Amino acid sequence: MTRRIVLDPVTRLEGHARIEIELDEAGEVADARVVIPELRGFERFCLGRAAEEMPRITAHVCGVCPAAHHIASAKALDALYGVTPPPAARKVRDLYYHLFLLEDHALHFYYLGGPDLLVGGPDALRSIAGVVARLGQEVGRRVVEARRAARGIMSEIAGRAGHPVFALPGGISRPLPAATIARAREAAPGLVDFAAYSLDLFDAAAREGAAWRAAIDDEAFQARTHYAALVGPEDEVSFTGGTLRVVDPDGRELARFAPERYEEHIAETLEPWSWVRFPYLSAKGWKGFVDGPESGVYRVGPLARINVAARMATPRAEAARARMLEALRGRPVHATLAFHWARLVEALQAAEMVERLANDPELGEADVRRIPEAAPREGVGVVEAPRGTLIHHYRTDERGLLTGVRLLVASQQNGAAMQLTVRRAAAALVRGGRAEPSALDTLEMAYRAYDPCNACASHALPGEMPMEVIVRSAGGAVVQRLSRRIDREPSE
Amino acid sequence: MAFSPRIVAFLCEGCSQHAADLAGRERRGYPQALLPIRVPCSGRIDPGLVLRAFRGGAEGVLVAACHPQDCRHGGSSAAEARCAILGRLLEALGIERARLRFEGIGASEAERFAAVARDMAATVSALGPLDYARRALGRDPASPPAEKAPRRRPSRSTHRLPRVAIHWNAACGGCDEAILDEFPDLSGLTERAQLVYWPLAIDGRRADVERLKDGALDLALVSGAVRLQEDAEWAVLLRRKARRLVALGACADTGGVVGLGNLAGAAAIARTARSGAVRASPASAREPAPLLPMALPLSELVPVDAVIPGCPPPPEVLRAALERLLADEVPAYEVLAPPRALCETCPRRATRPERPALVELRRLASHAPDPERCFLDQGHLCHGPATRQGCGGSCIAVNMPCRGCSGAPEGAPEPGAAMIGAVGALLAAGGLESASLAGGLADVAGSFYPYGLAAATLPEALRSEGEEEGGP
Repeated sequence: MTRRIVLDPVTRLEGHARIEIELDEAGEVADARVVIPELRGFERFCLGRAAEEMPRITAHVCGVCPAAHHIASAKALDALYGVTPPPAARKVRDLYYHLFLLEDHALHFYYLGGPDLLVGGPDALRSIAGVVARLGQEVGRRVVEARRAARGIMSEIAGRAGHPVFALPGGISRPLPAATIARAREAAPGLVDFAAYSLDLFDAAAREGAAWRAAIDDEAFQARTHYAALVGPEDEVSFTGGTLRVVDPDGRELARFAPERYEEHIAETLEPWSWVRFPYLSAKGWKGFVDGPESGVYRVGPLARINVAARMATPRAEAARARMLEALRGRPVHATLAFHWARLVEALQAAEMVERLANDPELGEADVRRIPEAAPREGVGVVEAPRGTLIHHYRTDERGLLTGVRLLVASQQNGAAMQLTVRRAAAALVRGGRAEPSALDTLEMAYRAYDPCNACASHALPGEMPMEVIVRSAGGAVVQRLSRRIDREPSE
Repeated sequence: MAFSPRIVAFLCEGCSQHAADLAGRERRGYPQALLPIRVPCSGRIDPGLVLRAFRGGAEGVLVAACHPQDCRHGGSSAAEARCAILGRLLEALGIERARLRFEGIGASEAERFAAVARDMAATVSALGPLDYARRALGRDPASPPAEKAPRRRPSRSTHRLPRVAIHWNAACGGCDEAILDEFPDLSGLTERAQLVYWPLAIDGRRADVERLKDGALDLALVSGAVRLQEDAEWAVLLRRKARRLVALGACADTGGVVGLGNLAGAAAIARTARSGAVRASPASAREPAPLLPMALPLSELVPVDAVIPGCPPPPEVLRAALERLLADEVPAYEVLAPPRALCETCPRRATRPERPALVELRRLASHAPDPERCFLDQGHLCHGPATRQGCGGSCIAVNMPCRGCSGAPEGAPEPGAAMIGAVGALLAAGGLESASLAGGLADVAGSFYPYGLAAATLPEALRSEGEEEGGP
């Protein structure tokens, strides 16, 4: 008799997920998977829309990382129309982007995944409230202040803290007001302090905690995958542009290419039970949810960036990176939990970049827009989103109406590795048909380390349509019947 | 027996109504299929009424107005412009443009009226039945949609904190982030409420919610469109468990951008998503979570007690709404945002001309708007006239036109129709050949329904939109 353990939903992540563990007759794990029950269909319903609306439309892919989609989309539009934004426009976008990266990484460490490490023990309150209860009001005050400062400046730049509206092909919608620049300059040192403080807190609370010590070196929480990330001209970590570099599980370079050539290097596969497509390295091919040098499975995101880049772009972050790699015995680091540490190293780089950009003399210049003149055709835009490489790829007709849209998002690229991680951790944690609640917490923790963003991952709308859907109440009564007639299916 | 179409005819009482009367008195034959609706002026025909006529079973709609140059109120040109936009919208939805017809008919033109009616009946007969309602709603039109204003529920005991659940359906998480911005360390919320379920911020399982007694929750805030069967199950579950169910944000309110998926048609979306993947899926007993045929606003599925509009809800709106909801001060259905149109509080109101007019249509790709002037006056389709206040014009403040995420002002049937109505009037005032100007709109559905397509209960594409592939 087979049995299933279902964790529904997995909490403290962006969007929907449930973990399903199938046990065999002996009670051992036969299979485990993360199922993401959501999808909305952006790649199809954006067809026919005016291209310049895409930064606003695709921001709605994700309410946690709308900035990443907004900026990737704007860059795709720059390429689509063959126009280079003026320096001030690029710098305002970059300032906005680094503020976002900092506040989003802080969200994960203090609210989403971090409480797994910061608040230990069974029946613990793993949430921001638990973090404050465990580590004190001061922690809460600092994170709230820092995120509020960053998001306040973001909303002045972008119109609102949520879905931004300011980026356009060839630049941005208006010059940055002097008051906003002053506010950013004033806030920047505090943000750098906050990022450094978070790293100290990580040392003092997370690395000393039971969860970290138990799992960081545990074989069940390793994945020897390839890694992919953007690097800048000196192979430094770069969030806003550069070359895509891929390294193998031994850290050797497998590929280096301009982001617009991504299709030559990355392919996707489908699984019948999942809405989310799984990208893999086409040079290696799809070998299933396995790691190692012959598997096409690769990872993106904070740990991937640390593993791929030669160094950080800013001095204090570089020092933090060196400490991290020393403690974890050099790169590539394969421990999934190390994503947490890498994220905080990156938050420091983001804060230092905010300080640098806020004080840039060109930031407030009035010239912020080049009006496109060339006919639009095709464009690729790429950024390093908090969760990894994000690619927007558009094609239009001569009127600038979209005829092709492809979004390759971070949580989708990490999808195969997440499956692998969950399966491996489940096999170690569930033995003899028994799973302690704490073991299930640990399993979730491994998945959460990726900071999964499932609204992003499931932006596409794959699968075949059901003929009829019956909504039943818990008592079994039919609440509603939604049907789809076969004559409405377009013939293939 | 031949198919006999139902055609709703909006007749202006200054002209075409007389022509119809005269045609009857003179015994000129015209089809009985015509259902006449008399209006004081064709300019008063809300585009939402035209759509409602189709939804209610009409196979064609005739708008018979004064000849535009003869109209005493200037309404006829607005009606013509609105019909031009509506026709293109219907076409984008796969409905033949000939099913909606605008004609100028003078009071004495009895024969012309009869001829138009005969011709329209013949054209629509040839096109065949539309079956709009079934296609639009994905269910039998005989079963009415959920009531928006449910019965009053007993108020909670004041001796304990209200029990609250926050859930997301087909959402982006932006509404949850907006709540987090209000209660950044949760303490402001946990002092006021017992937080039972909120997957973004605290641990908890679906089973915990299922175990609750019916009505045990005082408040459930649900964001996201209803797109999957699982979303529908959550909607029904939380409706049962919660005394007050609140649609949080544009997707729950009107379908949001998710509603644009209804334009494409689900099969086309599926084809797009499958393209570009090199490996076909092997046969398997396991299926992914099933989809509903359409994306729906929450209120299409279950009664909703209140709406907090916006994408995401603006901080001031959200703060005020949560304040009242947590204090149990929203006794009857209410949209928890100011009722009137954004234009009235627009920071650029002073630059709005006395008699605003659209003389050209501009796109943001090829034009940098002036940072002070009314967007409509510059030819940009700003949704201010058709959008509820509450945001303070935050997009306009950064020199971007409104896209209508807060939904329609009070009294307007739905935001897209309200915007078509407003733009029709502006095009007419512009005095150009309004129909041809409307024809210059690049993307009608996306321009008028960026957030409201699902709420407009418009149908999916009825024809295949061609076999284009999604991946570039």
